[in-house]
Amino acid sequence: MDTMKNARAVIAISAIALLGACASNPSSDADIAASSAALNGAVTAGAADTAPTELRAARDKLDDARRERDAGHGERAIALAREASVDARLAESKALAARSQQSAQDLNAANRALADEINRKSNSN
Amino acid sequence: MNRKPNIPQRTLSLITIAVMALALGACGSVPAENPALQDAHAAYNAADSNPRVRDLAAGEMMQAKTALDRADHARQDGASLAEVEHLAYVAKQRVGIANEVAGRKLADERAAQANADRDRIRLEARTREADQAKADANAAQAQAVVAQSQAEAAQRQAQDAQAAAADVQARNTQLTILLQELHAKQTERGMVVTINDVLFDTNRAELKPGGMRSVEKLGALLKDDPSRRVQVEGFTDSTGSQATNDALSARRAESVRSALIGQGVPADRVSAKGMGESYPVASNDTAAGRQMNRRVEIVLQDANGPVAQR
Repeated sequence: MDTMKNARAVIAISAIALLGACASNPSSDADIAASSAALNGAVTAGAADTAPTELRAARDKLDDARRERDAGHGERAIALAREASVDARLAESKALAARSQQSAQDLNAANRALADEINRKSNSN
Repeated sequence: MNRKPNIPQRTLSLITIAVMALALGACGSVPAENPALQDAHAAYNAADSNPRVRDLAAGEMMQAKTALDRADHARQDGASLAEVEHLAYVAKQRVGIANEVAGRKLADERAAQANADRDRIRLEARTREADQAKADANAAQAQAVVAQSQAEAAQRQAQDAQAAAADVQARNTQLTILLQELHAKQTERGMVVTINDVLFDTNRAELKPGGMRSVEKLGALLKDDPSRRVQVEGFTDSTGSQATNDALSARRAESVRSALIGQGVPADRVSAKGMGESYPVASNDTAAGRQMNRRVEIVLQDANGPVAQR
């Protein structure tokens, strides 16, 4: 009788745990909002040109996250939203790096042109 | 102990054992290696071994490390494969972000350096231009000094030439006046000044003071005039022997030559010659004619060449 009681208790706890896993549906709204903001940031930084792959991945995952949320799969929605966020952040930092690199390149080219012009001028004297 | 049916109890026992086995399986054994997590570790280690990433993206590297630790803990705690892969993915992307941030900051440093370079290049160019302008100004000033001294030299030369020309003109004017005073005559051989017999004592070759004055004046003008040569020619009348007349005419010519040289006329520009009773200018039949024939002629020639001989 004791062993049976024990066994019943184990089964009950396991069932509750399983139910808890399924029943609890954490809110993914905050993560989806953060992901959306990160995506906007990436677009603003010009990621469409310089990091299109990362940007598309972020957008797809954000869409998936919204679908999972709407389907009541909070955990999956959160995970997808968080991946979309880092994808968007990577796209943004790639775009910003490319912009800085272009700027440095332009400045150095301008300096070479300036030095050339000055040399030509002083040689023609 | 009252007996209970065996089967349900056995079934219950089996279920219990299975549940326990599952629990043991979750906690006990070390979970298998996860490729995604390994990737994330490899990416993190590569970034961490790059000093630039470590320095320039320290904050992002710290976030990557936190994400990596979470993935590690999840795997050790027996989280689902999907959960571990999700956390490993996040960690790997965070490493990527750190790399990009480091790349951006490096580029920003290069841009700042380029700006500094541009300022330096401009400053150097301006300094060079200023130096060049200064050098040009100095050169121009030196040139101006040279030009001025050249102009001054040219002016001096012109003044000297003018003065020399004025000297020549003055001398020529004086000579012309003197020659008029001395009743010089223009002949084919040049100007001829005749010094009359009355300026010599009879049979004497020494000039009297009156003749001497004329010769002195002439000598003073001739000594500074290298363009003129002088020939002094002595003549007599037909009285007396030819030999006597030749000697007397030569002595009188020589006497006038000496007087000219005494005035400073270079000896090589003055020659003397006795012509005796040749070339009379008047008849030897009358006393007046003979007096005119007793004379010394001073022939002045402009040319540097020898005095034309009779």
